[in-house]
Amino acid sequence: MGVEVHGRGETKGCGSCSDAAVPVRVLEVNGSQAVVEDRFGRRSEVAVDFVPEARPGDVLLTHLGVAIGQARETHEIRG
Amino acid sequence: MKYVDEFRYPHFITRAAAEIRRLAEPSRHYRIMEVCGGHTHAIYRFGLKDLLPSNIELVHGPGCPVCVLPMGRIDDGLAITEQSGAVFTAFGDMMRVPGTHGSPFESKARGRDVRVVYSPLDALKLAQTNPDKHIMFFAIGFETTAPSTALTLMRARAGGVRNFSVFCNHVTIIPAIRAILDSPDMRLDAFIGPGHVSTVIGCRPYQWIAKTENKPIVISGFEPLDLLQSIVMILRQLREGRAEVENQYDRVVPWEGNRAALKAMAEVFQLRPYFEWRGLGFISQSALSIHEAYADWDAERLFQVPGVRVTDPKAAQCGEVLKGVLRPHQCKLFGRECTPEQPVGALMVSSEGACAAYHSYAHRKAATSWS
Repeated sequence: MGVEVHGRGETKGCGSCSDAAVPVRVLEVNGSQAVVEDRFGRRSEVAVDFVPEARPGDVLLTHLGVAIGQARETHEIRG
Repeated sequence: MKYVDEFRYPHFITRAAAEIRRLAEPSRHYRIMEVCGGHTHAIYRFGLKDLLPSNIELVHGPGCPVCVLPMGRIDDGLAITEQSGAVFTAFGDMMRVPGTHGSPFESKARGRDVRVVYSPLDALKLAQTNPDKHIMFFAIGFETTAPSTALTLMRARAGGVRNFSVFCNHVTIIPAIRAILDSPDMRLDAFIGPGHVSTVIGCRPYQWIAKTENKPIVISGFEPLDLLQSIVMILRQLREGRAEVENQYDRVVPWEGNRAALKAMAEVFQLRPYFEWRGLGFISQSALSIHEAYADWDAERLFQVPGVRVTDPKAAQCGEVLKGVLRPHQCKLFGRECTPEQPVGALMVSSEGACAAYHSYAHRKAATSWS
């Protein structure tokens, strides 16, 4: 099995797998970097070059230390 | 954060599974391919196959980038570092992938400077803090990962970091799906589309699958309820005679993708005329190389690349498993000569590989139930 990745807000999974990405909440934006927190309360720093509109409170999807999209929290669960 | 936990509630999962049983026509056998390795891993991890009726078959696709990388590319990457003295950096997943003369970790044991990095940006930092060394990053991954490599190269150029390069092995998902659909021994009814790749490329690139191939594709998230909802959406399409691109994972995936990431990729990369995929052979315009504007950071231009071609061990049936023709346990080597501890085939190396996922969850479960 591949080496499993922890830290920087990532959950277990293959680091190079293109579909391993995790949601984090933005705490602070400093230029092209942001301090974020995952759902377990772990903090890390990620690049936000690809989500320039990111603001504190937003939820971002991060992959290998880079935010690749903004996530929308959902209250609707489809059955 | 309403994002993960809600998609694991047993009540909703039970309800979705019941809807699947209601929609599946007993006289029909459904073959649905989950394209991405993350989905394969989630299906086994959460035991989702046990919730499906026996006439719904999930076929594992080619979406594990470690698995589809030909062994010769690992040999090439290690050869560059051995010839030039550059430091070999890569994600941890790559380090146990066997080349002809062993894996990167085995190369390290023989005295080479091989280091695990979490992100290409970390490899760049390594170059900045070690100006006397050349740091080469072995880049791998689909469109989710390629933007981080592009960003790293843009920062390397902007910062004038000259002791850093990338050995680029990024691949693209659409040509691989096309190659699978073109395979004569393949019969599929629908696709579960990759979630995070689609965060970057959006939903539009899949439209030909619905329009030309007349097959439903539903972009899916990775939690149990996500995957079951996607199967519900596929069954509804099939029942109603529709073939459309639908987006179950719309809490993350915008229809148009991430424009900033796509723009960075377009600046830094260009399509290779063709690239070899382990198990699938050569596929045209299926991989990325580094654009001439970034030639000073392109390891393939900076160093001599041997261009090694290595045939997989004949007994390993990775190709058939990758194309969904065989189930992992139907390979002659599965669980005997080929295990996660001693992988022979690529699909056993990465945790997202179909064989490793099957071995870790389904195989273990079977062994437990027999005891």
